[in-house]
Amino acid sequence: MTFLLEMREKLRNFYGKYEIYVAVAVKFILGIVVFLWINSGIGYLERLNQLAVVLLLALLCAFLPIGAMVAAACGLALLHFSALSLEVCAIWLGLVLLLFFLYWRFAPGHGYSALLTPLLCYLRVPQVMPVAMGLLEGPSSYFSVLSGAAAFFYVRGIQENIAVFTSGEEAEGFSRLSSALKLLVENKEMYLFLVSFLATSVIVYAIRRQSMAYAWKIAIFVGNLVQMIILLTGYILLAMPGRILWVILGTLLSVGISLILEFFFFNLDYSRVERVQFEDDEYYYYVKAVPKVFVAKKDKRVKRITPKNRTTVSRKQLAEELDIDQDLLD
Amino acid sequence: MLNEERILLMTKMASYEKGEGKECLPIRQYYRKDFISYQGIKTFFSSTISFGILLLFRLVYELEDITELMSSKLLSSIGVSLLAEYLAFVAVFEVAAYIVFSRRYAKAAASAKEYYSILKKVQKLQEKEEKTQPSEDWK
Repeated sequence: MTFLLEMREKLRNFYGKYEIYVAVAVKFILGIVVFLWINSGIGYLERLNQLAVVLLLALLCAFLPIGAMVAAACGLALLHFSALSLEVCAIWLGLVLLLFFLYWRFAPGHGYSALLTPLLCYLRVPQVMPVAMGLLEGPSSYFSVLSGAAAFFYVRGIQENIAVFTSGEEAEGFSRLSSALKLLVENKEMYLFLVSFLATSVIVYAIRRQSMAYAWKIAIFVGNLVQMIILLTGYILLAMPGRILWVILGTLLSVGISLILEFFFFNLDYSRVERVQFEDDEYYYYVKAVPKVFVAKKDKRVKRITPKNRTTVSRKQLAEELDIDQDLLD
Repeated sequence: MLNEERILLMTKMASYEKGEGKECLPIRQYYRKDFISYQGIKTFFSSTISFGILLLFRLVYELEDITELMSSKLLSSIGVSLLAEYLAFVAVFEVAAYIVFSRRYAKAAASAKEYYSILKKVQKLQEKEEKTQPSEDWK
């Protein structure tokens, strides 16, 4: 445990020292992953479906606020959809504008969660996002996770029904528009995710703010349990048993990552709780203070107390030098 | 001569301006009422555009039903119900904006309070320094 705490302090110090470079590197890597994912999943516009474009965009976004990456990702998807079908593009534009006007205006920021949610949805393990947001952020940020999930389900819907939008015979103009919209509006799995994400975040947030001991751990376990129950029930009702294994795997991963987050952001030592009471003119205060688990970085200082050129002295020589009997040195 | 205390306070201020202050200080430039009204106007436009997009979505989604509905109902009654929906939609977002932005203003005001108190201290220290410095004639 001490080793882990030391590692945490080292990581924190490293981040504090090289914050600017770490932030740029993280954004650059995230940018590459996001733009590659978009290009590989919906790369309908050949000109943009190139590694150079991905690297250039990621590099540009690495030096800009995270909101720029969200905008770039939405823009890139829009251009790809425009090459597929204008109807799909129109619905995507409507969805992005709706999210922008209804949500981003009230709670800007949280770009990381908006980008990570669809990525984790793609990897089939998005359960960690609502739990992490419930632990680290306030209620206004939860909608960024919901926005990311809605965007993912629309993109996946298009991918799964690509034939509707590529064949020019059956579906024309308005019916394509209607089909694209139905992918969003009639997607029951999306509603299931949105409900479970929102419920999980709110539950985690409500529990972790309590002053009880081990509030974060309880929040993590209850939140994940509730989320798993909602998702499992939903998938059984939707008759999609194939997803159940992924729900369990995602929940286990979510518990693991949440515990790591707790270790980094809220590691308290409940064995050393202090309770104090005092008063002023207007109030009486009952204060419970829980110390953080903290280990100071080991400051290794090597102090030489022997000369570099160590000379060995025999017992006999030492006894002669001190002018004492040799037996006294035993 | 460097004044360490003043440098310390100015560093604190610069750090605040770069971090939390980036968001809070521009808000504090407004009076509370002005800030909330300004955000209310912006919310009106954004919620109107959002309602327009949702209406378009609905038109696309329910086109067949709408043609039936229009033949059975009077156009004016559809207009009235749409207007009611629009007003309710905008009202919900205006209330949300009032709550969100009044809280944000209160938070910014509390956060900037310390900044301004440090600013005053720095000003006093600077005035004190200027007084204690020998005038040009004495040099």
